[in-house]
Amino acid sequence: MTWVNAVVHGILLGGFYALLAAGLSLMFGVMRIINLAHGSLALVGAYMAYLLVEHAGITTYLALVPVLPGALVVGYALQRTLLDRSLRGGELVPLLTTFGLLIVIANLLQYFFSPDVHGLSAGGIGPANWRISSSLTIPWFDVLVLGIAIGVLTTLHLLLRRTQLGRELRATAADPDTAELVGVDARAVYARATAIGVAVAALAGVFYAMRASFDPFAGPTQLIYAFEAVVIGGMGSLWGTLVGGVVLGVAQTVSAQIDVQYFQLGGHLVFLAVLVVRAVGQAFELGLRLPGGAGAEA
Amino acid sequence: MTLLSVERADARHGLLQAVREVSFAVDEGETVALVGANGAGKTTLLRAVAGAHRLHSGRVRYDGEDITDLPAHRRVRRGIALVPEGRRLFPELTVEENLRVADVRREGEWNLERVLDAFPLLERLRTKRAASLSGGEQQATAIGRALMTNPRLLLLDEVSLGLAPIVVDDVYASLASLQRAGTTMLLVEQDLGRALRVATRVLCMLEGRVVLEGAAGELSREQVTDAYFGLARSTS
Repeated sequence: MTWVNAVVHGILLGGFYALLAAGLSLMFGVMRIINLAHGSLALVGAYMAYLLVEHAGITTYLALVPVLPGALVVGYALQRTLLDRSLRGGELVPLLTTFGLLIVIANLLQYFFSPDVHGLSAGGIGPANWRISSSLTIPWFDVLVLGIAIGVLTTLHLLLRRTQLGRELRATAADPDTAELVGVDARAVYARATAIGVAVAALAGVFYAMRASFDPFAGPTQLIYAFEAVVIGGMGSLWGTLVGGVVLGVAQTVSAQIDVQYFQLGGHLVFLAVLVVRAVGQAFELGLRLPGGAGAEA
Repeated sequence: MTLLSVERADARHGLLQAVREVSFAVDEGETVALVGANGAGKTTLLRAVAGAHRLHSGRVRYDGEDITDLPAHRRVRRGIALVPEGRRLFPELTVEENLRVADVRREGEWNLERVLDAFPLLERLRTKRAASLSGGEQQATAIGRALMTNPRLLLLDEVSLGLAPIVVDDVYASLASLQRAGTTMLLVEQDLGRALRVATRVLCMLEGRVVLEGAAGELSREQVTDAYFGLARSTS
């Protein structure tokens, strides 16, 4: 039963990872940007909520009401001022830019908020559990986070499939030059994608701050989990991101069941295994395609 | 009335000069064919008019306005649409999505229903991904996609390339009906005979320059062929 407990908790944890990774996946899918500052932008969301909770005396959930639109604006401005320029510089420049952004954000947060550890209250739901047996309990808060992750992914899916903005996003992702030729303002589409990506990051950051304590340098650790979830699930695929998050979460909790110290190691090993399997698979595909000769692609 | 005028346009690909000091004008309602050998600069010129290729120097005027510095998506909103060489559909999008993404809400007679009426074969392909279509189906989608923007000036780049002759006939039949409806067209066509039949005027390019220009009815096939290959035969 303890193993069942570990798997259930892993799935729930996977929901959090998927929420964390959704914005990263969206930005990669549309612009091929690997946003290294994603975890740090999530933290910015957490600190924005922290400010409101401390100074306006509202609950963390209510703080989301101004934080999310604020994050949309931050994302939009970030794309228009910084990322647009770096995209023009080639594939590597956005990677360097977002890496720089990660460091700047961490230091700005430290400057304004001190290196102290903070936390946000999850309200009454925080400590509440659904106790099924002596060794299997389900925390309500984790169920809520999984539900929100599925909700966010469903919303993003519907946005991409059913709306004009979604068609523009997918067309621009496939071929930005041709998208321009059918009247799509590719830059404006990019800015909207980043705005949504950062808002989802901020949402994940606020929930992260409710489940664990955070400090100005917590961004990169969260980035690694998000990145692993995205890669395991297949780069840029939204539902793959949910699968990736769950696989990562289960790998971590099951490893921790063997020995608590293995929590992170288990996740990283699964990530590594996925990369190796993909590499071998690709090598096989190439090997099979070669005898087909030239022109097979045309 | 002049709809489009290109003045002393120079366009480059890196160090290579693809278009040299080209000037020409297109009147409203005309169909102008750009002919010339591979590498003569036809595609670059067309893309420069659409805003997809930045001119090195020279101006592009459209509907009385200088649009040289206008980005492609804003030219679409003013009524310039390009059917690019090789179709360039969005492969993961369905036929319907490929059409609807180009709905820029410009005033005009074209909408999803009208386009599907004009290209009946697209109706049953609506939910098919563009990547799974045949060449002719892709070309119909690409032309339909350009029509969704309600163009006043339609630019067509090698619409017959890679298609079976019978499919090319279909494509040109639909272009003829657009012509009758008054749409101004500037098209690049490899097939000289077809270019001379469909166009009201022909521009022949050689090594980045316009070397021959005239009404399609007044030019002989020999004149065009000579200009095409750069043969100096200085008689009328």
